[in-house]
Amino acid sequence: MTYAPLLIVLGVLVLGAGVTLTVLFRADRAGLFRRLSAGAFVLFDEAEPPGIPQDQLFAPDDARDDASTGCHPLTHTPPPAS
Amino acid sequence: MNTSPPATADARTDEVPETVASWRRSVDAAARLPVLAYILSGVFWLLVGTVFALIASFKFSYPDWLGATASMTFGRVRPAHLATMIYGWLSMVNVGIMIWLWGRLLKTPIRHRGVLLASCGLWNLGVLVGTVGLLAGYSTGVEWIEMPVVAFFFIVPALGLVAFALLSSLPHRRVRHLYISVWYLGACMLWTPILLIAVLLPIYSGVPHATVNWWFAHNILGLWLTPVGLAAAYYFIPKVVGRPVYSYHLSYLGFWTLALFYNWAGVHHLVGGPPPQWVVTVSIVFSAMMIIPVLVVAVNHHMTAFARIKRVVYSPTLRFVVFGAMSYTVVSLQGALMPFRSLMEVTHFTHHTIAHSHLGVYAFATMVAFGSVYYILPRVTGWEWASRRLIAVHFWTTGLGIGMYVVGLTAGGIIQGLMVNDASIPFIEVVNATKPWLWSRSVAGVLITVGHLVFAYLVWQIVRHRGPAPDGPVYFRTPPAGLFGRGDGGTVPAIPGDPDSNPL
Repeated sequence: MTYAPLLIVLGVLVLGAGVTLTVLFRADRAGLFRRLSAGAFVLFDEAEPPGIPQDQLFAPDDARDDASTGCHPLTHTPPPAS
Repeated sequence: MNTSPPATADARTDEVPETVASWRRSVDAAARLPVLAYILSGVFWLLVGTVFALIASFKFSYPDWLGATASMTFGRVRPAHLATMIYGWLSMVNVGIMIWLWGRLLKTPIRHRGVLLASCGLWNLGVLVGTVGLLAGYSTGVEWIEMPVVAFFFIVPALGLVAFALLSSLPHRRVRHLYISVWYLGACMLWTPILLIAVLLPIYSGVPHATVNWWFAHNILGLWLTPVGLAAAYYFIPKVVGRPVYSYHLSYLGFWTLALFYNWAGVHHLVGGPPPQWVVTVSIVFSAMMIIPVLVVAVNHHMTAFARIKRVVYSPTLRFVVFGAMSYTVVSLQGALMPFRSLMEVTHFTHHTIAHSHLGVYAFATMVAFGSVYYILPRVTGWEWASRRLIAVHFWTTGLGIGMYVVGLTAGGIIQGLMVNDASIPFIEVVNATKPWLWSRSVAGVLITVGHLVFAYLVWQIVRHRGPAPDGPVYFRTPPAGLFGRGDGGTVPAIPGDPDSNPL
């Protein structure tokens, strides 16, 4: 019986843990975890502020424009001139 | 915990040259084609995989059905179902969700759209080759990666192209902070190719092959499907309920503990098998340690959503995603306890395991994906869903269907395990005792199939801009005025009696 496959798997596991810890350390050094709580608000802005539940942002003007001008529904490009 | 915005939430938002409303449209427009390509491909494979699932399920009750056709025998159809669902439907729809979230969270248009479209083509080719190969009898025989190896010559490079396109967009981001979803998405993009390459290396045989097999099978769930589901839930729950994550610090603890603990698990699937006992024990220990990230995520998702849980009455996205988040808590706690040898003595090699995997892959990952698609497609197509009733049909058929499936097979599996452990019971009696539960599986499968057909119809309708011109979002029922913001940058009224609803 050869132990090479087992050693490879264990090597991947240990290497993975090492890389993970290295990324964690470097991310901390780069300041990515500073003022962490503020990061939770990245999702929000003036148009979609916290405190206002948002769902299915709809752009009726865009859609109506497409319908009236015959734009392609996927690309929003105008129809070819005939 | 986080209820009020900080003075400067984002150090680089002042670099965004456009108005807040327009950057969102430009980011969505940039992602439109790749997102649609991946989601439509995913829906196609969902339908194909559903057909295979039904065939495989009814074969438990009618073993001779289609038995004369080699490609339709259980040993080929069941792996084809798994391959099309995991590598076709869920992987491809998840990449579509990933591309859209990546642009939204980095507030920058996705680069290399042509590369992403090429990756979608490669991916489809890989799943097609793999599925045809399975039906023709060219299975690797390694569970969860049965497709012929040649299929992965397309899928792994496709995944590499996705990682290239998304990671090369990272330096162009207009925000300094990387939201927790970005960590999950970025990590799984790098973890998954390593997983696939490691399991495909032609160096294993015998016991080491089985060990690597189950290490891979467990990790493709936890390090590929789970991170995308959690990333989506971390985005959509706060967005739809309009409040930040309950504890952002905890969310990071959850991510890093998942990263450190998860990949040590998996070999617990071989409890009682030939691998060295210490390998299995290490796996059991790390499975139990997964309770930490699971509880962290559960606290965060549920505490964020429950403050405004009544919105699930109205919002399709929130209802599907909350269903998925609750299922994640259940399946993960179950998964942390299941590896213990005392429980394995009963549940191992029974239908209980199938129930558990469907609880994770369907009740969690697929339901979150459905919810995400209900949020994303109106934004990338500029249209709305054709019918609120059909969305409700989709939710109830899939929700009830997977509920019946999991309950039926869990009960049936436990009964099966207890009977098998009693040497005085003839095996045929065990088989007969599981029959009613296998019927419940088939009935649940029919319900789920109806849901998938309805979902595919709705997706086709919205992509083709069919139906009456929409004048607003589609909800299950009309919400009270002010419950959901318009999101158009205009004045948004505060919700009476809701202290969190003060606009900025």
